[in-house]
Amino acid sequence: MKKFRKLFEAEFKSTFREPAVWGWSIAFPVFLTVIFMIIFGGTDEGESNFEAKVVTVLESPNDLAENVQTTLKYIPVLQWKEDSPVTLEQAEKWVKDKTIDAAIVLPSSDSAKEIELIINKEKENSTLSQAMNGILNSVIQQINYQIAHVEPQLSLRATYISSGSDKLEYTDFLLTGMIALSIAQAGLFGMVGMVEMRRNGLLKRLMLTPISMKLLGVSNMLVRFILGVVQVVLLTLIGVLLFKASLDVNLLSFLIIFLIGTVSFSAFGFMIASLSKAMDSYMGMANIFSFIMMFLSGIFFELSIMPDYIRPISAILPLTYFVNGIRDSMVYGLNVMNPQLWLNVGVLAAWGIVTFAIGSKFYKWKA
Amino acid sequence: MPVVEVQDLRKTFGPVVAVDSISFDVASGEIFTIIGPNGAGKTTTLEMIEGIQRPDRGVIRINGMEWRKDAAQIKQIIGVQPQTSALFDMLTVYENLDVFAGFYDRSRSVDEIIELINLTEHRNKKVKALSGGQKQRLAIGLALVNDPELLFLDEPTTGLDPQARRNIWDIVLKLKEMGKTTILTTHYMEEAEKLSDRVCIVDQGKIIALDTSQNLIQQLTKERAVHLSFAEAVEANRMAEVVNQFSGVSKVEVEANQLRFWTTVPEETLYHLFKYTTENHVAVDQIGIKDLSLEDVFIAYTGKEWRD
Repeated sequence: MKKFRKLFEAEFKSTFREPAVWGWSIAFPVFLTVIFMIIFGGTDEGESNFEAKVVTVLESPNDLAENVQTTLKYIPVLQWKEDSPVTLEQAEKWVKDKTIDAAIVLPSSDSAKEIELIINKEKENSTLSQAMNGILNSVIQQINYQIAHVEPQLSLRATYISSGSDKLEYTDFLLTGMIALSIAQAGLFGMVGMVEMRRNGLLKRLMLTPISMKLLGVSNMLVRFILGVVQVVLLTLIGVLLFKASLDVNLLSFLIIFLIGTVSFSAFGFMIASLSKAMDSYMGMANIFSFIMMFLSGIFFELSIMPDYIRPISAILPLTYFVNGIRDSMVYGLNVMNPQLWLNVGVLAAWGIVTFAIGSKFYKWKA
Repeated sequence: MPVVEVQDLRKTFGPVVAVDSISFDVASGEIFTIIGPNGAGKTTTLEMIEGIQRPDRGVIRINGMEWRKDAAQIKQIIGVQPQTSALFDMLTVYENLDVFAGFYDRSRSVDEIIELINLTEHRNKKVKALSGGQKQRLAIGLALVNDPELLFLDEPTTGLDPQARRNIWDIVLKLKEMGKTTILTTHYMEEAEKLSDRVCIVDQGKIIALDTSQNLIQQLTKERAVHLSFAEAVEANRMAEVVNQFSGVSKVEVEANQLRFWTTVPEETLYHLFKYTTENHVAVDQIGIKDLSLEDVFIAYTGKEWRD
């Protein structure tokens, strides 16, 4: 136990005092996540929740205009610059200098048939113009029905659903993808120590002492788990606090997939170490695997947008199953009874066993 | 019982015979040096005794134990400083020693070791900030954490400046005073002469000589080189003719005012020489008698020039 404690202490300090670990395993994933979130996730509330600032214009008061005005007041996405109608001049001025998004000119008398919408020319093709047109059209339709005393027979109700839960938004998708990716990369790249320790003789030096190489492996794994936890906590906090990700975490499912993923990708790294003589060849190979998986495992984009001939490749990559497991347990909150979890665990375990076997066969303990 | 017994060791790497029929014993408290040029098989021999490489043939016993059966016990009583100083670079001097001490059943006080290897001022410095000599001293310190009976030092001073080298010699001699048995490899003749009780000269995987350095030199020859310089070249030439007629003188060389000759009876030759110079009023400026060194032994046995 003392041997293990000391070995763990040495590995822990060696890892967390290494600037490269902070750079590549902690700062880099954080940086990447923030960038991707900003580009694809969107923090701009106005984009997802439409709102428009408006005023109405009324030249002479009449019942119809009042009716329209009252109906418009019920539309939640319209924000009112002035509660009561203003003059046309004033409204046009505000539209020009963008104080308001649109001005609605109410009918000038009960017999007038026109409602005019004034929008800045620059926004002619924007969502604003489409949305305002849509809103006004349905308002007009409603009022027309009222005037004609007709009950509409058909109505439209749109409900948008995602594949698993109604909560999945791109922010959550990307955040969980980045979490899975950074854990996988920590494993893929982290085993470079096995090459470096062999090169500089530290491995040989340790073999001269009474500690076993199994103990070295176990203490090394424990350090990787700690690093993994740091990554998960940091990325989750950034996602939730900065980008309003909404998570539904099933802790037990998460722990299972996290453990198996960390071990499995470390085994993958061990295999790469066994096939490389020097650090350069290790980094080259780790980069190739990392790039293939990064784009073909559904980290940034749904697999469904991939061409058909790519999908069989995605279907065998370990990261595909790892990221699915992470999403199931962090976004959908699926519990351990879910068979999908065990499929993910099974595929990752298979990858872990195969790569570890290859690693053990080819890794040369002596330089 | 000897601490180390080595019998008929052999190791090949493909077609290359790295070590061939090497046998020796090392007694308790002894500093035993294996010396030889690069690629002679020193490190391979050492690594087989340390249990890192398996010999193709031969027997190795440490305190009567064999690696095959008693690896765990042997590891507890040996301390090794490998050729490349392998340390946890991101850990401090103290932390490295403390971590390694934790690997053993028995350990020596870390502070005591730091003092012995003279790194007290640097105890909280990270390894990567140490100089080559300091790293090498720490590597020796790591070999001491379990207070071993048997110590292996593989080229401990290679690549160090003369001052750093002398620091390490002091440590090795202190360890001898503490009663440790040491097996050392080096390719510095001076180091072998200074430190060792016995020297084993290895070339091309074989032992070519094994004895105390003094005995090795004495066995080689009793011949001494004598060097004289005179005020003028004429006198050197004249003396060359005189010396040539003395019995026991084997070779005479003159170069300007310098005279050099080799004699198997130095006392007698010098008596006759000075008798002649006094009687004939020849002024001798300088005189020197050179001892033979291990380097001469190596050259005599292998017929090769020594190269550091």
